[in-house]
Amino acid sequence: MAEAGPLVELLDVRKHYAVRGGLFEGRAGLVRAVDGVSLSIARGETLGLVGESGCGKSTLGRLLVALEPPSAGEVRFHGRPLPARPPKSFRRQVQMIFQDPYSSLNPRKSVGAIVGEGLAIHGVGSRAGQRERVLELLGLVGLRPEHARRYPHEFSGGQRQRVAIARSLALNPELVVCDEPVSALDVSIQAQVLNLLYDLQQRLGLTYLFISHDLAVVSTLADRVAVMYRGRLVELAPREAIYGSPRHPYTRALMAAVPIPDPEAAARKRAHLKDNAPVPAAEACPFAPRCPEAEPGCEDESPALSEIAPGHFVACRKP
Amino acid sequence: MSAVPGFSPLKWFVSRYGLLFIGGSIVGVMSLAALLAPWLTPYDPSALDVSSLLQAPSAAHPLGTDALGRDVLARMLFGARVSLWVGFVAVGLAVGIGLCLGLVAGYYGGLVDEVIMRGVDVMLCFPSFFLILAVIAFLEPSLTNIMIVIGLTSWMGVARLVRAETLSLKSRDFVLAAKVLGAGTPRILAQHVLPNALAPVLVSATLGVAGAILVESSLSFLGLGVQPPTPSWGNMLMEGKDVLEIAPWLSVFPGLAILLTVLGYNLLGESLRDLLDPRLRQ
Repeated sequence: MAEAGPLVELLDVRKHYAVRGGLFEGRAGLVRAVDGVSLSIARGETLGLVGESGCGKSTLGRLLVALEPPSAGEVRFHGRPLPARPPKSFRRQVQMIFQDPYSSLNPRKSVGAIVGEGLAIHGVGSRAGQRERVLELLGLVGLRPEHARRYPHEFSGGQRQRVAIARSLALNPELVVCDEPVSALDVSIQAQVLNLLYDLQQRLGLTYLFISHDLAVVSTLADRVAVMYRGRLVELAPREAIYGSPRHPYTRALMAAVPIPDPEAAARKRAHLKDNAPVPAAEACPFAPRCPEAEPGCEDESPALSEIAPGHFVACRKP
Repeated sequence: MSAVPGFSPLKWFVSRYGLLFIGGSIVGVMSLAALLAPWLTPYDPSALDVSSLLQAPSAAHPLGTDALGRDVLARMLFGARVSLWVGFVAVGLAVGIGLCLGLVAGYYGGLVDEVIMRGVDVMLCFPSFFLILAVIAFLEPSLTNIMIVIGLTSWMGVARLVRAETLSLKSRDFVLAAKVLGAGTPRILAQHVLPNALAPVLVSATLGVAGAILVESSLSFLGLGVQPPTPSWGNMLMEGKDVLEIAPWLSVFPGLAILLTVLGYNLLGESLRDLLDPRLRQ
């Protein structure tokens, strides 16, 4: 299994949605949910993906698990381009954990059936073997064997998310896309689930794409962090670099918005963004209209990601 | 567990489940009567008895006899079989068609959805009773034909309900999770969408049984439904109307049976709707 190269690569991936409007359903516009993103995730790595809501981070996750095909560009898995209809083997290798554990579990199915569904779909092992595996998975995520017979409504949010995690691990995936896996949970439960995700990664050698709007949450798990704004990557760097020396004005603004439980520190100067501005032209820097450091010229070109330090990429004209 | 002041378990039960209880009882009694018909009366529903024509209700004939001396109670019990059977089969057919088309329209969307739902609109444009009359006039008015025609003209409501549920269910996370696990469309529809879309269908089906029974009675009353000598509540009403002044029991009891049964199914359906609707559930 020791093949060179990253586990997944995105090459200039785009996802555009036509907005329908008007009486006769003509095209009213185009939403560029993901607009030319290239990145790669190495085996065993956790890539954190942050950005405000609506920036396209969830869409990117859905492209990675092939819930939707990209409009343009290519997703490569194990170095091979992913076809529009992914093979069954791909479904076993890439899994997803959803944000809301209240809507991600079918209320009419028992926990055992939910966790074992992947085994049933792919016909893994005998009935008895599948039951065995379900119990093993429940143990792995810290649930008890008797929970298999219960239904989702009998569980708390944290327990439900454990069930969802167990389901995602049933087929021994290599990559797990975690789409805001703790955002819907109480803060006291968030740490438990994050610890569980970390332990599982250590034990099973998982690769994570960890999507979140919460920088504090991402900092606990991510090896590298990618920052997205309006469908594009604006900064990509190892965790220490992102948190220690953020270079893009947007990343700095995000950092400044992280709440600090200390009234004196909280009084520090905030980087204020301009209010939501009109969507800039496709060729302009997407952040320019809101950027506190924008200069004349920023609106003329869309800066590409460039490497300003080893492994530290920024898409800004003036870092 | 001490008693909560001002709380009476009986009042609570009646206010919450009273209508369900009444509707369920009526439906239950009617169904049992139909099921046990041969054991509930000593008479054969089509046995003529010229020595006792048009007799008023008595100990020997609790609901009287008709113009041919047949026992009205026996005919009503066997008529219940026909009416309920028509109701169930017609609704079963309607639910089957509505489920399939609704699932397909909601799940696939786009052109498929457009074609199916415009078909629903077209079907809803026909005044369905006259459509049924016209079809039955061409075909022979047998029990099977009646059931099929009623079923074929009453699936649209179910189709719309199921389509709406499917539309909201197909983008739920547990359906996406199943897709990510590699589930095919048949599995997603059968295991994830359908079971979660059934509650409103159950309500609609219960109300539909009432509707189908009414349609069958109307058809039989007009002579286009169940043909004599097979008893049905509708054709008993028709036979009774000519002698309404001298033998009112011939019309009153079948009429009451229709009224009660339709009322029972409607009460059951309405209270099921309230119980299953999460917005009304406390």
